[in-house]
Amino acid sequence: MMRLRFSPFPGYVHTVEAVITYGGLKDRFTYVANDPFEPGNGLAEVNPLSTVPTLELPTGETLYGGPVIYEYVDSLHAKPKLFTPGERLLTVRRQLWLADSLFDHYVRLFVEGREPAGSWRAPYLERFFKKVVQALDAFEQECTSFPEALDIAQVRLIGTLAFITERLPKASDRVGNLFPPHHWRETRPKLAAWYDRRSQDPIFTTKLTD
Amino acid sequence: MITIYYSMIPNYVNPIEAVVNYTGLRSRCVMVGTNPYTNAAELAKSNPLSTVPAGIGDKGEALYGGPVLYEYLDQQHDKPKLFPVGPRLIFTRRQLWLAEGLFDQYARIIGEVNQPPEKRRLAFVERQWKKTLAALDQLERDALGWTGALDIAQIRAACSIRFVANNIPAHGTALGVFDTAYDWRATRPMLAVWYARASADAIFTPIQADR
Repeated sequence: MMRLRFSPFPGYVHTVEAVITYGGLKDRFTYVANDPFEPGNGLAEVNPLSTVPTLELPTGETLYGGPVIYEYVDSLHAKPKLFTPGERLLTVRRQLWLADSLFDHYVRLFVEGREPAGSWRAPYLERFFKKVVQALDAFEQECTSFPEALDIAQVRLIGTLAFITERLPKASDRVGNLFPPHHWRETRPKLAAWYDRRSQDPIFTTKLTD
Repeated sequence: MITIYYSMIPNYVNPIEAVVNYTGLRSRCVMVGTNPYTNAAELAKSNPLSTVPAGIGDKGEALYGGPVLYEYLDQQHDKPKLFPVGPRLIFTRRQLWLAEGLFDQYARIIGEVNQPPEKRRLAFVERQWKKTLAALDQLERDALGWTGALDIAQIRAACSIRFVANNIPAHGTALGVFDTAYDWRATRPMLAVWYARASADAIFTPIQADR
């Protein structure tokens, strides 16, 4: 059995869960809840970067970096691959990088809110907020050429959008609106329509743990 | 032609420079020196994240995320591939992720160095320093298997280690959180031997920008 460490959130399906469900691989893993921000969570013992998801293999090797784990899981099933073979793959990897970064940059905005009021860094927040907006704008353009078959970039993007839709405006509140509350759907009709259609896939609603 | 944006740092060679050197693609690349902080708007025209390295492929395609750009270049030459083919590739990707992480996690310390002393978040620096040490410890274990030709993870690791080692004295002095004389080699003999060999490779030669 492989051991997957990740941080379950009520009502949210992680990208790694969606990939496992897509591959029909739920029973190949055991699941361990790990909060990367909680001291003494044991994560650093298996992953020097202390990030989730982290995947421990029966061979004793450990994989980390979401995209690395998604690619490994994608190699274990016989369905059409989410890492699309062929010429498009590098575009998919670039879009995956963007979707993954969009999530990470949201987290930076959120984490700043954990610092005491008065110590928040406006230039830092502005810089990362701009990247978030630009990444969303890029996907508003690119979503019209997404292929009909799901690929890993689309799966990651749906996972990211599901996570940030309500949380991004709240992250602004947490830092006294040093960056404006942003509702991405309001100015990106193509991305919103794409998201509403594709996020209905059951892989995005099936949680692997209670 | 392929356009590559990168930032030149004194006494340091970026992995993108090493990859261009390895692949022999210098004559097909226009190398553009830039600064992702002051030229963010310019970079954003082809890269919404405004990061370096980034590029534009010879068909006009946007290329960003270091590993994406390295892989693009690795597809354009006929030498042994830096992204090895076969079942070990996923572990090379994990090592590449770690080596990238070593650079990124350490680089976040610079943000604190640049703050006025009274505004620095030293608990954050401590966390980042711990991750830096843990990443180096894992590379010590990874280096056991690094006996053959250079691959992309090793190139990234060699550059990240040099970046960290170059900066420890000044950052240690500025922050007072870690030892300014910290020697990463002292407890990592395998990594030290590997690094001495790998970093002597001629691919780690700076590339002068075309503009």
